[in-house]
Amino acid sequence: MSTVQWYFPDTLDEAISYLGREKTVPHGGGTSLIKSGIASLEGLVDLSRLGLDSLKMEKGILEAGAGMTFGGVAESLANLHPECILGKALGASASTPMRNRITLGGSASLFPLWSDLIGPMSVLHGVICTEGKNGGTYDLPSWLADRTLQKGSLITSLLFPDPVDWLSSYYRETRVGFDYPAFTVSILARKNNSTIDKVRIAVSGGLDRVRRLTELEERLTGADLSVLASLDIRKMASVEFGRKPAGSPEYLSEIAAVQVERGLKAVLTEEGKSR
Amino acid sequence: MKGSFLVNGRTNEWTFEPDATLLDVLRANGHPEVHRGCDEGVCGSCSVLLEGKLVNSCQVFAASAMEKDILTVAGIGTIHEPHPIQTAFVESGAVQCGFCTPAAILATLALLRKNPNPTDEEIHSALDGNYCRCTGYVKIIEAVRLASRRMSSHD
Repeated sequence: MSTVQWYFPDTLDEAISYLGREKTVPHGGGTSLIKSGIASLEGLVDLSRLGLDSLKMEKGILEAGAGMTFGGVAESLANLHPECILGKALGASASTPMRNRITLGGSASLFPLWSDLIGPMSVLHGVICTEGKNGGTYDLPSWLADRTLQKGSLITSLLFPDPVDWLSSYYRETRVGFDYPAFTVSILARKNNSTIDKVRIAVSGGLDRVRRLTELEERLTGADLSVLASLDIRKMASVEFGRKPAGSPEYLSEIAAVQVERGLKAVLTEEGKSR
Repeated sequence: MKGSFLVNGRTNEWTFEPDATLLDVLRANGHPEVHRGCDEGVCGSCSVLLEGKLVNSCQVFAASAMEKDILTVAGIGTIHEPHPIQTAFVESGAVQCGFCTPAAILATLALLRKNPNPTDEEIHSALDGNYCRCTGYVKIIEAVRLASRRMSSHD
């Protein structure tokens, strides 16, 4: 018999006070705690009354509340900014009933290897906002580097500066749609006629969790589109993987590089778009 | 713990364990129409509408569903007055063993409420969390198309 105590705070301060208690964690509505079990916990803080489920765009910055579900974000962005990579990625994740439960805050708290959020976070330079003991704003590398930031704190929203007006491509490696992806490839680009103005490329699911292909980004930025034919993109897109059910490290590394090359061509050239 | 659950328009006071899922609580309190399948959020057999959104009830803590609007398939039609989606499933041959049917009907309802004229791609996406091991999905998709036509013509 479980003895876990549920708390239903109406304010952030109240929620944070509960989170300071021993073995007490937040529950935004997602599925990770059901999967992991709550037998070892003493308290669960339900976040549904805190109003963290809004999405707004102000001065070009997208702010998504931590309580927004993947489905909610995907649906809102499909209407407002259909090319935004965040909406494309979250709309492709899991299945409809799961997307209606998985929240941004829960996903950012864990960033599992199969995350469909981490790639777009990386290329959009997303920021995690928290309140509480370690309240503040954190970029993705800082957040991933220090898991203790979450102790006694609550993720309240994710900020995405400059999230729209990019050419974008999102790829997830799955056998069937609702599989956990073995890896994902996120690409953003801006071009001016035949010149590539900016490119951001991230591969998630490898040993680095999420890796920006900075060397390739630097070679492409400012270059003419013809560089796509002359550059050895697959070599520069090499990412290390561990063994997974979807394939060996070598296999995953090879096909991730192929998908980076295909994604770049799809985003930057007409030839790729007709693929 | 004790809590109030609004199921199919009716308020119920139920007792449950803190780690119980919504599926556990519904089935323990007279809602066998919500089927237990994989218990992992994969098969979709336990789907209900929670605040109008399709969810896997096996992946929802009952505590977090208290005082929220819950709809099971029993809340949309009866054997004497079936919902147009239920009629469409029967007429299209989309019901074989029937285990996935309540959930597929609720997935269809959630879709058609927000998008009365979905494309095939939108139908596939809306039902992507509902497994059927009998029909091969062809008849289910035909049923969704038929329900869409009938419900649109009644508007």
